[in-house]
Amino acid sequence: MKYAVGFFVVAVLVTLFLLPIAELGFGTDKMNDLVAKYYISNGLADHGAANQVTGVVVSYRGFDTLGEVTVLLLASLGVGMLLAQRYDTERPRPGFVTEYGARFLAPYLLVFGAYIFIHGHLTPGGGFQGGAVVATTLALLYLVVMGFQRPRALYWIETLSGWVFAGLGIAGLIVSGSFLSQIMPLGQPYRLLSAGIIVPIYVAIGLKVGIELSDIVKYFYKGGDQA
Amino acid sequence: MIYYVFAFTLIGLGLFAIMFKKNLFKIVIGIELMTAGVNLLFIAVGFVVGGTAPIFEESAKFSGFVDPVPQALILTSIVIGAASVGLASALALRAGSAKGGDLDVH
Amino acid sequence: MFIDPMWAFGITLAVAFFASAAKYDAKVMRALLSLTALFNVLVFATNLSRAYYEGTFTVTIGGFAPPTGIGLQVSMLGALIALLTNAALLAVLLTLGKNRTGRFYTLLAIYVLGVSGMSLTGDYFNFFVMMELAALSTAAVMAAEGTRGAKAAFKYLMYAEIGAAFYLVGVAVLYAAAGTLNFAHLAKEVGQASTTVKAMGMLALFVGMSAEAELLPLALWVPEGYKEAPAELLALLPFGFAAGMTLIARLAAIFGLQSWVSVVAWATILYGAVAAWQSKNFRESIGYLSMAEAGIVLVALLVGANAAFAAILLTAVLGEFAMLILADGGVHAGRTAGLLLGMLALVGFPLSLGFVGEVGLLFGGLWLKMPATTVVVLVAILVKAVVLARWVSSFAGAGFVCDKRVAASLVSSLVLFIAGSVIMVQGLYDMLAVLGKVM
Repeated sequence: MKYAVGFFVVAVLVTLFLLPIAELGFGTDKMNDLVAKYYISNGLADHGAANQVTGVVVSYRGFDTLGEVTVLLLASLGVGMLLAQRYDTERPRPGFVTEYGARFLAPYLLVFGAYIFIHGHLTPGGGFQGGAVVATTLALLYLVVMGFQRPRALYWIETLSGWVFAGLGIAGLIVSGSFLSQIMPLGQPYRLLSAGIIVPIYVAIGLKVGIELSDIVKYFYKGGDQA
Repeated sequence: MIYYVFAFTLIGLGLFAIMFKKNLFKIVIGIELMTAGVNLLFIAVGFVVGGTAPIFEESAKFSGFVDPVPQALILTSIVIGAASVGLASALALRAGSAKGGDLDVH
Repeated sequence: MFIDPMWAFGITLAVAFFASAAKYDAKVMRALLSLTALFNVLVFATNLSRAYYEGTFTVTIGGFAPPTGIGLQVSMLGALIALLTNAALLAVLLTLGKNRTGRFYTLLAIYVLGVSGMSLTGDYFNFFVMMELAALSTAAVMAAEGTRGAKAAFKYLMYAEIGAAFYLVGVAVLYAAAGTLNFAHLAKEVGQASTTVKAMGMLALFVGMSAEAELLPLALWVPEGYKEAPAELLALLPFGFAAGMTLIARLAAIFGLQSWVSVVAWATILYGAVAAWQSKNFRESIGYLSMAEAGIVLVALLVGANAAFAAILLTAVLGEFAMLILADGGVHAGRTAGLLLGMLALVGFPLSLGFVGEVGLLFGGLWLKMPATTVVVLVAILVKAVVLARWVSSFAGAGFVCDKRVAASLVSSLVLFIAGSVIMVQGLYDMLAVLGKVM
């Protein structure tokens, strides 16, 4: 009975919100001249990235992306704080094939992840997608390889990649008076070294996301440290 | 249009799970479902009939793209969803552990 | 002198990113974050003065003017909330919690960053990102102490995520209708959209915000949240409420408020007042009172009394801060004095800003437009006074000790009294000038 009433309420609510969106139509061009149309027609000149989604994410709406990176940082901090007392439990040792398969695959996966975030301005993908692949690799190593420790360098890589993003923002503030503005040469479009600040930012995001997401997995598995 | 209906169905199912399920991890799944529904909704809003992915190629013409903005927005929303689900799972573990593995809300 | 507010965001984030390299060391992070909070207070003070002299101004980010890029829209109220939040963080870091972890302090700073962003941003998707920063860090910090905290935090996160989904549905509807994500541009573009689109878009954003703004559909986390939150977060919770209210003020400016909003206001005021009356726990009852306060603030928006809205909002934030920072601790006269002054400020004793706000609300059209609501508001204020007086008398003690926490609380209440007195003396001076001309 309770379920039936709840189901009815939710159904009514959902239909209510479906009305306005159905009224606006599906598949029609809803782009605004100053926003989406502007992005498509001026993208190459403004930020030099061939992938317009990347252009919107890093260039036009870069502050959102900085917030997004901070949300991941906050999740990793929070999970690390909450699961500080969890410690390693007894687990069966993974089989030979699993362990050595993971060791064999890890470098290739890392290169694949790096490829995705380095080419974010040219092809589908980008910092978050590449970072997710890097995180999968690290998570695989944490789960499968016995005694795999978090490399010490990761502490500083995480901080430095964050500083690249925030630092480019502040550099834009100093050079042209606007946070995260395009301060590096755009180069020739469709080349790897083009699109100015997008490439360093996506590399930094890829590393940072990879480390933080894999840390979250590690905390669930092995517990955080006491700090 | 069917995409809008699917998106709202997912949101409704997620809302239903959050409202009526007592198990904390089922609530986390509800949150996940709502996020997925919202993402589908955004993609459907940005779709233009006959449009392709907004990625330029050196030789192709610059026309007939779908709206890039909703895609950029759901990129943000996916990451935030992942972060909140991670945090919610950690909270559920912490909240449940004292009651001896019992993961109910009330 | 004017410092771009993005300096505050950039520096805070750079310090937060340092947490990992500092191995989450509590002392290092606390010192750095205190310095950052001080720096942010200075930055936002320059913004406040510019907003005072020039009116609301826009700050571009990424070098693209607002409808195209994200822009901050710095109003006086927004800059003031950002400034006060950072000042409160500084006070909390200096007076409370010597034994927390580095992660805890970093999360607290991210919460304050999110609140500042919410009150300043001019873009409604960016608002969502900032809201999530504030919401997720609240949930993480709330769970820092034991299982009960984790439960309260999970409940909070649940409501915040329902809110987030509603908010995003609202963003999708309004983006589909207007093709823009900027508040100012939205106000221009949404004009030709149909009534359904406007009403449902506004409703979705409103419901999405109601968890943070402590309004009824999603505010049911409040009692447990206030009860279980660590002292540091507890003192900062009212600021999130203020930042949420700024969104509702913007929605009111764009769409106007329909009559269903007054139902929300009524329900929130009555629920908050009745529950606060019955509550047996000091923190919990302040939480309920802050819900009642949220309803009163909403009434001020409904009537269109904007000055009263700002005055009541600031009173609620600073008054609650003054009381909540003293929520725990031994019984001594210093604490009683702090609570008493906080109570007087929060209730709206004559010469305080709350008094100015309440008088402005009652004579600014509330009595004429909505007589029944006036009675509800007056009863809520009376209940608030009685409940607070009961708590202050139950905490009365001897032996005056003025520690740092008491000082922070007294400063916060005195700010409200000084602001109120200045406004009232100014009003009296104007009245005398008018009389002088008549004579």
